Amino acid sequence: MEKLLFSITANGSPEVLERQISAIDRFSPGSFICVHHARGSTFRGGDVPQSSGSCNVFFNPNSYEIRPQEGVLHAHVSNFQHAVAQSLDFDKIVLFSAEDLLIKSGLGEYTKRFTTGAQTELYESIETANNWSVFRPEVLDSAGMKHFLSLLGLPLFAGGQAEGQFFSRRVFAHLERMYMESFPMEPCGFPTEQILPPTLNMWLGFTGTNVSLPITFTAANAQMDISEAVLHQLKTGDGALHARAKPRSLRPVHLGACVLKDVYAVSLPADRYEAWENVMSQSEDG
Amino acid sequence: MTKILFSLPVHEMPAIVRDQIANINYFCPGSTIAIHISAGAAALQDEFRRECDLPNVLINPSSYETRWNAGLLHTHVSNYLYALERGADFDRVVLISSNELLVKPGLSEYVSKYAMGSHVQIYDLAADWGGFRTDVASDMSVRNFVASLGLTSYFAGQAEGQFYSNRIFARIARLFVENFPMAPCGFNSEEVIPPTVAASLSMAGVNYAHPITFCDYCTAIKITPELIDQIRSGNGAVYAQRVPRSMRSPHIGVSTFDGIFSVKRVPREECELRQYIRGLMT
Repeated sequence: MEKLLFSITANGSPEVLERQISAIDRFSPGSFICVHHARGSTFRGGDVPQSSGSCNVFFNPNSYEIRPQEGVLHAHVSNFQHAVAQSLDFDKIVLFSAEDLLIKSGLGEYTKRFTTGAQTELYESIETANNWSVFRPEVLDSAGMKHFLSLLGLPLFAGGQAEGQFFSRRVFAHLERMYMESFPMEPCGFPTEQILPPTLNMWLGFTGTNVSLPITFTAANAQMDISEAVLHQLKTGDGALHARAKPRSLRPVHLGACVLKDVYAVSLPADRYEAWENVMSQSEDG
Repeated sequence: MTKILFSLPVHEMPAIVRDQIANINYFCPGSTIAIHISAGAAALQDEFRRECDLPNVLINPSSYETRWNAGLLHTHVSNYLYALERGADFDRVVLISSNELLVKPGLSEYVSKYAMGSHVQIYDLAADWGGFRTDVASDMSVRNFVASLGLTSYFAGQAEGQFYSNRIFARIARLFVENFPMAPCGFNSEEVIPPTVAASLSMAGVNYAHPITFCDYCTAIKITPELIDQIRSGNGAVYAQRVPRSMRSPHIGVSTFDGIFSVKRVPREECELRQYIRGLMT
């Protein structure tokens, strides 16, 4: 079983973070957790109760600025750097947003089968209602992006959901180097975490690496709610979920295909916690 | 070993169909191949029978009309019924086209792991695919078919390389016969009816794989010897922009080569690509 590092960009709520850490400790025991707090956040590590015995939680002393939709990859890069500086022994890094909650065990065995897990949608020049709004020429033509793509020898970037991407330590070290060469440690004006890791993932796929999907299910881009029934199906992993995408959103990567067995987390809006708790309390892991 | 029934509608080039049979027999020995000859190719019936005269090949005596882009599922249903009538022994039905070829062995073992392989896209007019049409969605036969599955809209996906267990294809055949004529329906029935049945089953927890055919018509990628070699290696992934108004390929953007056994389009003529694939059969 692999040792995992969960890189979390916290949203400032101690309760949400405690729930998230508790779920990681429950379903992926032995993992490390590195938490980044946005600059200006009043939140401190001591605000999280240690009821879960979280000696595996590391609070990143760096707090970078975070702005919605302008990129948080610098926070994950900083978390990675902090974990390496702490000499943490991990094999894979998993990128989590503040809303991601694990739902079942076995992630460490699953990630062992793949070098990376990321959604990879190639920059789409076709204008359609479902074309993702981040596929913009100004992103493609920005100096940082041009440099990043030149390092990989690619003409176009790719996009994918941020939540639940995972990478081997070696691949993320490569990403970290390229990021530091190409972009500042601050918001870049586009969702870097949805662009740069998928683009590296695409390069790996082109060069013969088998790539998987992110391990987090999100309904953010779909016309559906995460009900208890959905959570049950995610737990069992059988069959498929079907729903239309929201216009101009990224394609929901886990809909319309039998990939639910490879889903280990869910990106959960605050008003769905009760459903999550109900389902988790009924589960065999409970 | 899981036994396969390949359902193959043809309309021209008997010698090329003979080549395809040899290809199937090499990469998937022990299979049965049911061939439907289009009514429009009646003049070629005898030539087809001569070229395809092999013990595992069933020439369907029914020849229904086929029209491009107007629906072919009636030919597959007819092939299936004829195979049953002839007592063919099979566990999975694989729908193929006459301009595709297998490129590696192992299909029988692969399909044994799944009850079905299908490409299932929910009806979505925003998806920029010509397969999603309001006239089809509002067609009374389609509405009745969709309602009989307890669904509110149809699903669609790639036709080539779909596969279904004998039992599931029996359901597909029954639902088709109950709702549609044994004729072109005015839409690509083979892209709509099986994926919609697959969607309904998946909602009940039945798993499905992707279709086993990699198609080149919906992206900028063309079938080349290099791509075939990559598919055979099973490693990596391919990425490409979608052709406008085309479906999203199920095989782009994620590592799916393990489950790809056939490629389309291979021209229905002697060409370097066909020769390259033939060269793999040694």
